[in-house]
Amino acid sequence: MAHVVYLPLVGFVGGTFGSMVGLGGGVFLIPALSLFLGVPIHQAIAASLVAVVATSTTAAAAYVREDLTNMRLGMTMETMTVTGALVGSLVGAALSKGVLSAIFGGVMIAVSAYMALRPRATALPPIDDEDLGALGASYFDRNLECAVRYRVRRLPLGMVASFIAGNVSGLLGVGGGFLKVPAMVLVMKIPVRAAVSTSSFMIGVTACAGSVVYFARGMVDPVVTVPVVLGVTLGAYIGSRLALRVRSSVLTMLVAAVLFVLSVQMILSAAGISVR
Amino acid sequence: MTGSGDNVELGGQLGEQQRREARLNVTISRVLAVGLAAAMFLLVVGVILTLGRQGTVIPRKTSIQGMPGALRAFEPGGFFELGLLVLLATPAARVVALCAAYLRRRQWLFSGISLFVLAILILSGYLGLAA
Repeated sequence: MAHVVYLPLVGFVGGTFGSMVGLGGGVFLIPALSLFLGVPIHQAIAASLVAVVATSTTAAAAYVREDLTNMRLGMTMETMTVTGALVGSLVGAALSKGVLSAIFGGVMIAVSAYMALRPRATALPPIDDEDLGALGASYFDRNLECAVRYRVRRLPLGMVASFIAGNVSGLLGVGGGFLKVPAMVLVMKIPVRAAVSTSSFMIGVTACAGSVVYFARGMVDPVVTVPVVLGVTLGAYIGSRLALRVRSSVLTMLVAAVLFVLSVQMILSAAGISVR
Repeated sequence: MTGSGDNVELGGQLGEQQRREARLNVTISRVLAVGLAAAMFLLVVGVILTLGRQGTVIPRKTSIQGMPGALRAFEPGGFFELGLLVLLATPAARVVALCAAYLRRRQWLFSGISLFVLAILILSGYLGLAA
């Protein structure tokens, strides 16, 4: 069993790097807990889901205050993410350790590819029309020093992506932002800053739906979860400030490489090949 | 009255709408910040109690039924469970706050959407307990 001293450290590192590159931290926490600290994967997933609630709540409180979050769009897409998370958590709690590790390893390869190739902040064509639709919004971009207005396109496709993201979140204990943000930017034509903040806003509720199932089933181990949550919250707070001073492109590629190595280790572990 | 008069009226309505959105943003941000701070406070109290008592055994499973007794006895496990519960309740609380705001504004579509999300969260707890 993991030494309790390492748990807040793992949470802190996951929270710091996760917030610096725009992830909830679950993709770091689960392999670190299960591969290196010997925490059973179901408990690691439960601890990660609760930690994701903490990090996304920290981020969402700041983003909402800065007026970057599209709450009407977030609530609309949440109908699909919470439904997906409920289904995913019920299925995840019933799957074997090997199957879960293999699925997680596969999803992590997708996350590392997303980190390496993810959408950059590109300017969308300006919208002059007054009517932004029921879900469109505007915000003031401090970097561009102008108001950015956008309409929401292809909502049904975005809802499908939200259901899949929620499902992955409940099943594997991650936030699912790596699926939602590209869907919002590339498919729904939402500016990156609004997509990232709206995704953070949604992740808290999505992870809540999944973690409530684990909590009510008694699968949240406080001895593992509490140190991780305290570490990850502090890490997320510090990471969000460090992010402004570090070159994000170098860091993102480094994190993508680390995630890729961890994902291979998870798949090897699922096949019964020891990596410790 | 047409032309500039209409524009002034439209501008006034947009301004009021933006102010209402800004107020709602501040409210939701406060709900999240207060919930997070309360959860962290309870978890830290639990840690302090654990460190202050040599040989304290923390239950390895969450038990909602056992939580009130553990809190009355000032056991760290009770504070850990309540802290985690408050943390999980925080996103749900912001859904309730948004639902109330949409109902006050008579935005029925978004009120219904918020209620649906809330219903799924309640169903999650129910199915978890039932299992």
